[in-house]
Amino acid sequence: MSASTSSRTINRRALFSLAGAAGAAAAGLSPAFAQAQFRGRELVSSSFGGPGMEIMQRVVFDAFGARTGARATQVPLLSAQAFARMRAEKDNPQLDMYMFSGGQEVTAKAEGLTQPIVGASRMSQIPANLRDPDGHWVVWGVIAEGILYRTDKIANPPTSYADFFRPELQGHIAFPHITNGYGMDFLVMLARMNGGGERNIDPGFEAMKRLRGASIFRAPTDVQTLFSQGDIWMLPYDAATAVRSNRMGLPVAFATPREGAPAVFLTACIAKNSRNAEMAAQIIDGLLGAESQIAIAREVVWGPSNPTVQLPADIAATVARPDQLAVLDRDAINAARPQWAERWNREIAGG
Amino acid sequence: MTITSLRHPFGIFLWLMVALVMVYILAPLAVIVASSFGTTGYVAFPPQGFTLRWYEQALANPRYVNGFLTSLRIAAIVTVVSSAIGIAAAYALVRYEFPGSRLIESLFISPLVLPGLVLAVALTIFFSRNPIATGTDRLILAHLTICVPCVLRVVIPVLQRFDRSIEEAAQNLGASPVKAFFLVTLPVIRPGIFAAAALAFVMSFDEVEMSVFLASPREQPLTVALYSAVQLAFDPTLAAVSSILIMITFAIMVVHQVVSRIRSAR
Amino acid sequence: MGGALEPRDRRGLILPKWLPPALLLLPAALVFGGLFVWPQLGLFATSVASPPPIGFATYQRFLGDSFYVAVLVRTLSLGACVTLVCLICGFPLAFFLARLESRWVPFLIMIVSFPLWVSAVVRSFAWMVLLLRNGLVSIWLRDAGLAPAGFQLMYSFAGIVIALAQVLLPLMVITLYAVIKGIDRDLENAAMNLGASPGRAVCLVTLRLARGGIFAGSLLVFSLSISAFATPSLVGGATAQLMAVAIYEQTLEINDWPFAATISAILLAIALSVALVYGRLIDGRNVPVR
Repeated sequence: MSASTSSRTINRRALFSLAGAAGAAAAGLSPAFAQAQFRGRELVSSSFGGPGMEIMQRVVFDAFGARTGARATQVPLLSAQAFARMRAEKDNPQLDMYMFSGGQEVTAKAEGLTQPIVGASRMSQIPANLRDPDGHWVVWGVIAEGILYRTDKIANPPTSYADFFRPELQGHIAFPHITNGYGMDFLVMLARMNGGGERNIDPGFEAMKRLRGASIFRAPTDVQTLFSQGDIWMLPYDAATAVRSNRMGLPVAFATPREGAPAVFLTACIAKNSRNAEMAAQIIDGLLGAESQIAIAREVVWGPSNPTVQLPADIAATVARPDQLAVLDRDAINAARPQWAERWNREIAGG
Repeated sequence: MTITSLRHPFGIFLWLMVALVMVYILAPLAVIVASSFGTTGYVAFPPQGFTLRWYEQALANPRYVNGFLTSLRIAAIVTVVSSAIGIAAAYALVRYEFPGSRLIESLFISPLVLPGLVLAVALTIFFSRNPIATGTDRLILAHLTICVPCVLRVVIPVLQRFDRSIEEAAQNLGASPVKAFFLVTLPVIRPGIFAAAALAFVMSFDEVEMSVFLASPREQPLTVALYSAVQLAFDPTLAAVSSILIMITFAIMVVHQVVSRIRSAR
Repeated sequence: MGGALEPRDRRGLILPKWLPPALLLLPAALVFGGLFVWPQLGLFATSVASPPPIGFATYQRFLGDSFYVAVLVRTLSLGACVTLVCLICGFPLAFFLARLESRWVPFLIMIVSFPLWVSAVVRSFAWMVLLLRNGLVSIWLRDAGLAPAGFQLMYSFAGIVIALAQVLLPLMVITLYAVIKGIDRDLENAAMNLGASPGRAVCLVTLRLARGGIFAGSLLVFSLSISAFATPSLVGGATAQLMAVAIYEQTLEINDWPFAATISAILLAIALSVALVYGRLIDGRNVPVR
């Protein structure tokens, strides 16, 4: 199905790029043209790894390869590492395309490391707040953060970030380090809950200090182990991890807090000087398509960014609705990150 | 009376110490191997039930299998090259005392003092500007920066302990210096060389950061496959992969022992 | 000097005296200069070329801040603790392996190296099982009255030392084994025949003659423990406020590469001074061969 929509895109692209050439490129010829254009070339993208990477490989990258005779692969790189690599290779990028989850695309654009995505027709379907006005990046998935809790230990499910301060849960709380994006958002939400926010973080620090005795972890892999081995009953993390832990057999559920579920945007952008920008645009277009968005939502519970995509009811139930999301001021957070991280290391981690 | 005999207090102390240290080294590994057989979908200890499902999944995953073969190949090349380079340098530093040799010796260790990430980022910039190598060769070159210092560090004290008068005797009997090295020195310091090479091998096999930054997309080492797998969840397949590595090493050593026993029995 | 490769080939051609060592050192120098020093300088240049603070300002920022000085001190004490644990555990084991007359010795060495084969994430799971509040070791310590209620070794400095020493112990054992194997056991036997107890013989003879190995092993373990990131951050969580972790955070999360380069440079300078001073204290070179 998406093959037909994509070939339509290629049609348009092919016609567009051949506009000045002889009129020989009849519409029927363009799939062959697309094949000839990309055959034998190789596109490499960064990706977050894990099952999300596998599903995208199958639905988008391999499909593109089969269609065009090109080779499209992903290498696992967490956002922060990916950005460091993008910076390090800015003159001669080895990766054509990057995926970020921590707002790095904004810095990348500001540092001149990206280029406009040209030729991904589905970009126009994406709401304006989910894409760069100059077309340098686009959101292709949305992660909802919230509260993960042990269903067998906590009788009345949490409904608010205030529940982390319930006296009976003392000693059974964990939260991620500030260098983990979810740890940062937890701090912001604690601030919001106590009358502060992105521009007034003090209440967040004050609240977090009251969680003294909680286990502070760094690795995403610790979540399952903390629940299964560590006598931890509640921690702030994301819906995808909750669903995954649950599928693994852990009695863990996800609660959307009353204050809103902080949204994490998964973005894609193309490295400046990439020799395969056209291919990358095609891949990004694929990521925005219904087949990919539904498959990703089903497999790893990352919500769709394309409002025209209709999720099947069973999947829609696991994915946060847009009205449940709390959109954080990422620019303010990114600007304050160095100060907050340093203060956090001094005031929270020091114990 | 041998010093490892249990007939004197020191021998008993030694055995006791060794037993305790072995428990320290192996207890965490026992936890991992045991939990790799558990039936729960998450890694749990003590494991519940018994299954080989995670081993099947690990062995059916091309990322792990290809990653293992890639890592093996990279580590083998790195071991050979870094051993040769490291032994030559160690020989020069130990046998020819010259002003500054001790400083050079210390400087050579500095790549091990910096976190892998710093080496990885610096080399990424370097290779991006100077495309002197492509693909997996870049990673092999990168691994040399940490494996050569390891070999050097292990071999230097071994050569210092080696009685150079034996080498002199060989030369007095007409052997060329090179021949004396290969005929006399090398066989004597063989345990040291073996140790250095083994170290270089695992250092390369185990390295994460440079692999993540520099590996070719077509040939991803095992550490990159594992780095990728742990990003969303920690599932028992990972414990199985680690256990398989331990078991392979174990099996190689057993086979080696059996073969050498048969050979010596003949 | 006499035993070294003579600067003379078989036909009696005289080579300059410096040539053989220079040739032998050349490949290592190429690796060190071309793949370490040059790229590091390139990284440093990038750091300086981008945003503002250049020069000594970043050094002042680090060294003038008691928080970062504490990070430095913590890192060095972590290195010292891990090295000490590895020495105390590693020497008996290496000595035992070097003196054990059995064909199974290579096999045992391989078993000792097992921790190196397990990825840090998987290893940290095992440490969580053992060190979390309801983990075996933490429970034992509390039952033995050595720790207060609610105590856990996970996410603590002690936990980092335990986990890091376990994975670096193989390096110490391998290095010491290689050296002790080269020490003639007759020397120990001679000491014992002269009336020394076995323990005293080992202290008098082996420990002294293995000084070069102790130095080499300690330096390896020390270097790798102050540069370790994965194990400390996984096992230490927020308590892992260490130089390597600060370098990671500045490079990846804060994107302040100049400051990361500053921390690296300080780490390197201090580690090299430690190596030089320690090398002078334990001088493997001045120990007589026999």
